[in-house]
Amino acid sequence: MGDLFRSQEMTLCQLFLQAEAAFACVSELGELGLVQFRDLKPDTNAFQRKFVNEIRRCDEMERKLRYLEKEIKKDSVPVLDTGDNPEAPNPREMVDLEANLEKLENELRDVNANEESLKRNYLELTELKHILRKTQTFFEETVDQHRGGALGRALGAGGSQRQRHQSDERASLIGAGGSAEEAWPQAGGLQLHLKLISSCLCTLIDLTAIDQNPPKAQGRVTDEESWSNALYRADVALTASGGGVGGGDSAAAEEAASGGGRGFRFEFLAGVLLRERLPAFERMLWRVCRGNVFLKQADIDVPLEDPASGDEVLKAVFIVFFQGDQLKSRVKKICEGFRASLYPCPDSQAERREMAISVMTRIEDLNTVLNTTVDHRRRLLMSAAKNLRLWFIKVGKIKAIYHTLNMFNVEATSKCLIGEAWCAVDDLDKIHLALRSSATVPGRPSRRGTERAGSSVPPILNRMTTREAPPTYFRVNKLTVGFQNIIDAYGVASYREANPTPFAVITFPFLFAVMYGDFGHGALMFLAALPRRSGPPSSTARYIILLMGLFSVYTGLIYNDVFSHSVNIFGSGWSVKGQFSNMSIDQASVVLGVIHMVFGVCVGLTNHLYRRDFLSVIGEFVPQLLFMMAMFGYLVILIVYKWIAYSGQNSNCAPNLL
Amino acid sequence: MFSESMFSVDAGYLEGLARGFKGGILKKTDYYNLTQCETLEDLKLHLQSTDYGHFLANEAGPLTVSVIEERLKEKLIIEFNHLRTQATGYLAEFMDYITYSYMIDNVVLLLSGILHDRPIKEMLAKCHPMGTFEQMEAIHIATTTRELYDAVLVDTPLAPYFADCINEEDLNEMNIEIIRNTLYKAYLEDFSAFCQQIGGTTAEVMQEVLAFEADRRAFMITINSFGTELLKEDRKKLYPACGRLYPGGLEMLAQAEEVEQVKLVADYFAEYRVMFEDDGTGMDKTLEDKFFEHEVRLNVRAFMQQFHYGVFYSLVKLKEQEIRNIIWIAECVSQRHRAKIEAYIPILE
Repeated sequence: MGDLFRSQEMTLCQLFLQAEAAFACVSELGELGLVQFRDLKPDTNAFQRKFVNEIRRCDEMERKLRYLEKEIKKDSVPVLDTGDNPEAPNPREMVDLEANLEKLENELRDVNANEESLKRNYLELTELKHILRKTQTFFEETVDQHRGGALGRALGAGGSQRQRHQSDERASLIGAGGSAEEAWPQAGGLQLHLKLISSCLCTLIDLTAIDQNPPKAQGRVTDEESWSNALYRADVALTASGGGVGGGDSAAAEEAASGGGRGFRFEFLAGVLLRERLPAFERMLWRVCRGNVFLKQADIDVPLEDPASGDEVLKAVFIVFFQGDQLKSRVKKICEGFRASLYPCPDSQAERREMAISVMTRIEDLNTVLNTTVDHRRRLLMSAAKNLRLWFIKVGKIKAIYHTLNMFNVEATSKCLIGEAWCAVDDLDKIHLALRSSATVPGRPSRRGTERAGSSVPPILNRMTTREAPPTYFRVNKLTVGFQNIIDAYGVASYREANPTPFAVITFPFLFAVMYGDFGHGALMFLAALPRRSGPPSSTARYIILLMGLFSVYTGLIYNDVFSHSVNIFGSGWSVKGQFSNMSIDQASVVLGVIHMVFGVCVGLTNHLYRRDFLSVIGEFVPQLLFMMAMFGYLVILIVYKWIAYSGQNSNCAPNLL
Repeated sequence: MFSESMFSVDAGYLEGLARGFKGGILKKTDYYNLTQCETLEDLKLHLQSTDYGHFLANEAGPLTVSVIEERLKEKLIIEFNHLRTQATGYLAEFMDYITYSYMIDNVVLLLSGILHDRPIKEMLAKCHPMGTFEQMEAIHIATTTRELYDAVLVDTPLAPYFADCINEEDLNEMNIEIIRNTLYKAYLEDFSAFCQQIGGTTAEVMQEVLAFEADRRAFMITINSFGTELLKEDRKKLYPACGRLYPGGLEMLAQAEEVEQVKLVADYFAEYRVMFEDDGTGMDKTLEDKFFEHEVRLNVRAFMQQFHYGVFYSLVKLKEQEIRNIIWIAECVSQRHRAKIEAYIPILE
């Protein structure tokens, strides 16, 4: 600990390195961790330095490593951490590492691109599957509503013939697509379609029959009204185009239903849209198409995976029914604007079923391919994960070495690099040894091998004298590093100044314990901070907490305090029974505090003596001590006297101190 | 006075953040270093040591100016949104007002793209990210202004500004510019009124800034309309009324037919006279440059006062100017045309 009382003696050294050997030397010095280099060219910009290209290459490698890390984390592949600390590879190996990383990155990007396009296909097929399913539901729903007989009422003219029609229609609707085709020989799926539309519309008109408001002028209309208006207009269109379906006999109905003669065809577009965009989509549809379209929607229960980002999103299926080409182009534009994906949905039930089956088979095939791709990717990542940590360390070290080399001056003939560094005088031997071994040992089996044999001049280390203030360097170990950090937080000591840390190792936990003073909690602290055999290297605060806990146990016993309960373990140390106002703890802390302060002033004295600054001794130390002793020293004397002179009996009549 | 002592309750943290961001704005030495760069890679390396940090670190492939611009804007957006999501009350509304000007620019950009039959995706990529709104992508269904309003803009915050623009004409080049200026006029006047409503230091600071913006637009509209078919009455309708030129100066500007007459109008106001004169340094600054410089001065001054919302507005404007500067330098560097590389507008010392 005597070593810790003052900072280490430092010396400025000049380093002459041969250009070929420079990398290896700096690497060795880096591993040693005993020198601090000075920047000899502080005015140059980052991109004007000598080794800026190598640093750029390192940055590029780090970018690739970060990309790999991100992908590995995405797949939750565990990264191997053996606790190894590899040395920096030499520049030749750096090229190999670069090539390796490049290859890995390209492979990974390819696999990702493949996977994304496969997932996109998969998404499209899944959405199509959902559409086919939901449109089936749409049509079935209208069948149920239709059973209510709303069709007849809405269309005005009643009559048994109509009733018969209804039952026919009903039958045809229930009986999927086939029977419909039988009942109306000319019809195709479109016929069915028209029936559906009209039934939907009419049912809804019926349901909103109360709302018979005429369409409002442009401007703010609520959504509630919008539907009835939409339907009203649609119905007007329906009836206007030739009496609609409200004719009296089947022939007229059929004709109207065929629609061919009157250009009376409904079309639809089916697609999938993000759920959150649906309300705005609906609103815009209504506004742009003046309410002449009909939208039906249904949520997709399962969240789908977005191929680009990998997030799960909730979508909904929608169908828009409209009439005419102009509306069709408008609806398409709106769908494009809201990034809805449109899918071709066949009209008839049979076609839809066929399509659904083929979609299912394609989905299954795609699934297998997707699984193989995902496997391949995982294998790639696992092999990368084994080396990832080592690569990070290696690249980090290379970068640090080049940053350091950038601080050197290049000799005019550019064969020699000159650098300046601070180091502790005691370490000079170790540094010399490291430099020699890194530069001249030929046969080392490590990376330094043949390169080194070529260098003829060993690196030179000269001590330099300088008037600059050297840096402050403390040799700390696991125990003292935490305390040194605390002391540094108040201010780093200047060169060779007295260091409070050796004292703080004891006084800091002690003062903590005087305030904490609980046996139980202190024991817990102590146990928690004990070094574990199998645990990872601890934090710097471990030994601080250990000591604080230990001291707290001691004071807890003195205070008779366990987990905030008083316990009588040792019996009373007082020979006098009876109450008396006892402020000893406060008084004791005052005494302790004053002792500490005087101690601090005396340590300051050692600083003055070390610097042979006798003026300060007379001008600073003596007045400080006098002032302190005059005020607080007197107080301490009184306290001690009071403890001694007044016993338990007559403490009540003891005079007060303050 | 009391309102200012309560300012920090809701907005104190955000003001602190905003001043922190302002402290990271590039200084003269940074610009000096940037002008020394030989390639875009050097630029990236230097920017790493500023507040921008490693914003380009994960860019694969060779750097281009457009990539840099995109990332710069992205950083601004992230910072702005960070502030915006934590803002409440008047401040939230104030920050929304800041975004409306970008919305106007985006709407006009998309409209002109439609006019030239550009694909919608390309136009969307060029939109300013601070002015996005939900219905933006569906804008291409509109062929007349009425449709534009009814279908797209009616739900956006720009709806009230559109009242003057609605007519049955089809959209063409001239109309789009008129739309832009009409929208902007309504927006500026609305913003000014809102700031007056907030009162206090905010009103004071923003009054100055917005007045200059209004006057600058009046000058630019006048000068740019010489030689076009824009009539004087139409021109007058485009002048924002919240500047120092209102009402007398605007009257005179409306009658002006050449730059000399505009200069005469500017002579009545000390700061504007200086801008129209030749400043004798021999440097070839355009009028727009001088306007930018004055704007920067006003915005930096806004930070001299405390407890007002103007710092947020000024921060956005200053960051924007910084982005323009960096892109200017980047263009000069990448095209190796270093003659005018010093023509950026310095912001802070």
